Amino acid sequence: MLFTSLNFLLFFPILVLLFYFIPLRFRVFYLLLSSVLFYLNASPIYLLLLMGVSISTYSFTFLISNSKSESRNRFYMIANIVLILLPLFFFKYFQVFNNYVLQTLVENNLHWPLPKLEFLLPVGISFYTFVAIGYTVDVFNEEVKAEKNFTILTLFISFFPLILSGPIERASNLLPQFRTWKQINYAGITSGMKMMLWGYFMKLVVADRLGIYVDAVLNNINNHNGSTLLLASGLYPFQVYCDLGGYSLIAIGSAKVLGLDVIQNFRRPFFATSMAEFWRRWHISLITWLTDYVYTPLSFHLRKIGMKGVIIALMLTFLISGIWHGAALTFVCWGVLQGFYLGLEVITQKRRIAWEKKYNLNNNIFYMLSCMALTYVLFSISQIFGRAPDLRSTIEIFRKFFYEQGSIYLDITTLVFAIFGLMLVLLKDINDEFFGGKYSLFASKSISIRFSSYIIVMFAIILFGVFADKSFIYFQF
Amino acid sequence: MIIWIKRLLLIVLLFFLVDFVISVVLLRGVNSYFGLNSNAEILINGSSMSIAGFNKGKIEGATKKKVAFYSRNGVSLSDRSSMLEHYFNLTTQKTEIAVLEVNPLLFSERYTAANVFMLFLPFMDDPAMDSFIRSEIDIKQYWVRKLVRTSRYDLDLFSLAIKGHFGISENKKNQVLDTIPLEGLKREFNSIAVEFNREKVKQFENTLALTKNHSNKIILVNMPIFEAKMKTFKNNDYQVFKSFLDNYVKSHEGVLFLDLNIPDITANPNYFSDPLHLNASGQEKASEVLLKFIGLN
Repeated sequence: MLFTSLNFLLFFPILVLLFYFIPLRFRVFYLLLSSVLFYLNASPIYLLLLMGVSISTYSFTFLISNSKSESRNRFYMIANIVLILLPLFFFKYFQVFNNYVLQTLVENNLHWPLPKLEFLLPVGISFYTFVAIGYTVDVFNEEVKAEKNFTILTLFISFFPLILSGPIERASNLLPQFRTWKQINYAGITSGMKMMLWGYFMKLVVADRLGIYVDAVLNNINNHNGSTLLLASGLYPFQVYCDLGGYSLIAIGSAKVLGLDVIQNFRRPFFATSMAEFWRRWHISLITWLTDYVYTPLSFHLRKIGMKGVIIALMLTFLISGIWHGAALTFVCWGVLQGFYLGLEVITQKRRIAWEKKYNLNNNIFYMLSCMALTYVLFSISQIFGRAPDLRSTIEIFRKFFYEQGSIYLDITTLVFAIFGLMLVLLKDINDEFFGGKYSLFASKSISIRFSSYIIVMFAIILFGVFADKSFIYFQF
Repeated sequence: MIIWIKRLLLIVLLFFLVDFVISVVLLRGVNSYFGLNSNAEILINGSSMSIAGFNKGKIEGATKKKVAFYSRNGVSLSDRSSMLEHYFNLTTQKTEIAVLEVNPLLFSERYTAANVFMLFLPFMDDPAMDSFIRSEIDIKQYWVRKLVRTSRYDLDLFSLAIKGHFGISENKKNQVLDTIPLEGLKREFNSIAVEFNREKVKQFENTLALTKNHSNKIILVNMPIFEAKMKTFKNNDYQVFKSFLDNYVKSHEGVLFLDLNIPDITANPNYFSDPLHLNASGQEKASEVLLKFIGLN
């Protein structure tokens, strides 16, 4: 069930209404049932897999909590991680591996009856696997206590607003909330609904409208010149921001309506003045997860080699992130490029800070704007690797940037509405970033301004939204 | 609690009020764009070929008659039948001339765009359109459109409504047909069947009968197809299609036939944006031929 489907718009209000009418003690069970129904609607066969991950995680963390031997606990932790990673690896990489083997056999004139197996990636598998791994490590590190209630743990792993594309929640934040339910809270409900409304605007009006143009160009690289490819590549990061950012707002807002506070996933990333800062603002839940469970242990192990260790840990973390996005050379390059950007920033950090202090550059608006622009350009370059179908196409795009300029293909109606929507998103971000949300119409003290702004956004979505059952970009991961 | 319920009711009320107002404004614009409710003397009905082929302003200027240009991209014969029924439901006087597009794909089961009903959602208050849409759309979608009137519009219809309010009727493509990629069509010479589905023919005759009841004169216009493309149709099949139209015209008074597939147009790539659609220059030329035909008849 997509958040943008009519089914969800019918399912969610009924769910909320019943949620606030049932006794508090039944809420966990009720939400688990709702999450199962939600997942059944999206990926019925793979519900068993989700249940398997929950059972395995529950069992191993139970064993960890009951054993005092660190080596045994380490074994339980690793066993669970390996066990729940197996389906993820199988579904994500088996097809690529199988195709590679088949191709190699054919190229060498070996006709071995190897079946060509094809599977659909179970929806949300990466996200619930990451949640389960994070929880297992936290229990091992004694940062959280093992959850004894199987229903609560299964709800934590399968909570419907978060299961399809995150945010990747932490046990320390969500589990206590499942134990102490709040009474109905008007402010929380309205705040959640506002988030959802803005999320729908970002997704349907901006991301999907931008997607029409970006897809038309980047899916037909051979038919477009460098100037057009440059424009589409420049718009693509905004499409992803509004797609995943919009999705996250709908997810966080849905949880908020149910009285649950969930981790923020985006914090106005295009105002970052360095790549390191950018990654503290973009897909925050994934990056903090990678930092805590990949980068920190790696850099700890490599601490003896100093700066080099930090850089190797950064490279490896982003390489893993790249390979997680897809088993393709383009994603490997994407990861290496991000690692390179961050490594370079680590190396030059001291000198840069000294230089900025000396000339008081942090208060210089032109310097800050240039840094933001540079960060955006660097990120956009890396995203070309993430968007192009293969490495050859990526190289072709870069070649055309430099050698094939010409008149830009413009789909005027699509671009006008998409860019107007994007301007509104960025204006809201400016207001939140520099004015603390002071001029937010959604938060205005005047009820007429507030209600008018809700109505305007609702009708903007209805009239200018793209309702073509388009999926969210991150569902494929 | 009471204040929350009051606010919720207020926002629901406000939503439906605004929804109604916006939909009324948009419907007026769309009606004006297509010339619905206008009691126009000339009606042009067809698909994208007519949209690209005729210049409403030019025809209005030359004939000094009001033109309703009720044509839409991707519509099939049955869609057009519903369009005409809808159009005539809204007119109170007889149309002087109804210009109806015909083309070799008219009686084919193929070449019909999916989800065409989406184009007619704004008109679902009309009984003919409502039953047509209801038969095409899933029940949930249908009731959402019934309840939330603005959801009947998408960006395309919104743009048409704005054009209708501002009286913009131009629809020109300036692109010129690139003939080099069409070299491959030579391999398809005399190979594409011109289907002659009996049910479609019957439907066409019913549509003409309906139009005849509401118009003094009908002009069936065979829209031009670039010659390299035309040659890909099986000639024998095409002749069956043509002779059907010729015979129909001969046996029905007040029905005329204009074939725009004349070498003057079809041999000139500068008149086409793609093999099936005219560009701005082609539109000028086709409109002139139509005007001359109207003048002569």
